[in-house]
Amino acid sequence: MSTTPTCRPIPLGLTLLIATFSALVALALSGGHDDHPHRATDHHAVGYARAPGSSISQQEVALRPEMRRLWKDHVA
Amino acid sequence: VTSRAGLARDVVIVACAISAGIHAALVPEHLEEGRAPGIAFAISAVLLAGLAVVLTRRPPSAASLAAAGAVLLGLLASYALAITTGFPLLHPDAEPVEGLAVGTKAIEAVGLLAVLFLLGRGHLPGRRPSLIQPTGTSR
Repeated sequence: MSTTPTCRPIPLGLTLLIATFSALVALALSGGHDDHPHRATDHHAVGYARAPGSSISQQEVALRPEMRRLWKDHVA
Repeated sequence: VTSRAGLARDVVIVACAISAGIHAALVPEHLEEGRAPGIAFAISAVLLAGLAVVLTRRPPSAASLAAAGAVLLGLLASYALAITTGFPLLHPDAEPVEGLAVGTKAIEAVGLLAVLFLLGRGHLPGRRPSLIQPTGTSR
């Protein structure tokens, strides 16, 4: 009985396909994380990504609208 | 034994390919954090992709399997550092645990187990059966 079929590795093309698909999934998932800051910005709460479970201080909350107001004044 | 060894080799190849793709995709994101983390991710992606190609195109040798094991173990250890104490120089602050990273590390761990299986029992797929001597029969 020949053992050749079991010794042949998966094709290189399939390996590349797996790597490409994995990259696309990773991009989709990491892009999904980027959505959170934008949504939070819309609510004028947080303008950057925060670590899960971390809290934001009252000073930070107060600082961000103030910085936004200064920026708007500057642009205007 | 041969089919198990072949399956284990395929598991190593797939683990390297998946991890390479994910690391490559995350290079731009880590370059935003800093040059060093981005370059580290790029190097990891290149190493993993190279290992996947080498293991696909040639019958795996002990050296190539050991290299795959070393890279996978290094990535697992690096992530363990990154989420606990932080990685010196590259990522000094501990980073939060994320689903994508945990999934990637689980795949790498499976790949590492397959490497250990192949190395531990001397199962090197792609070799002629006549070249594999059972333990204790060498003169």
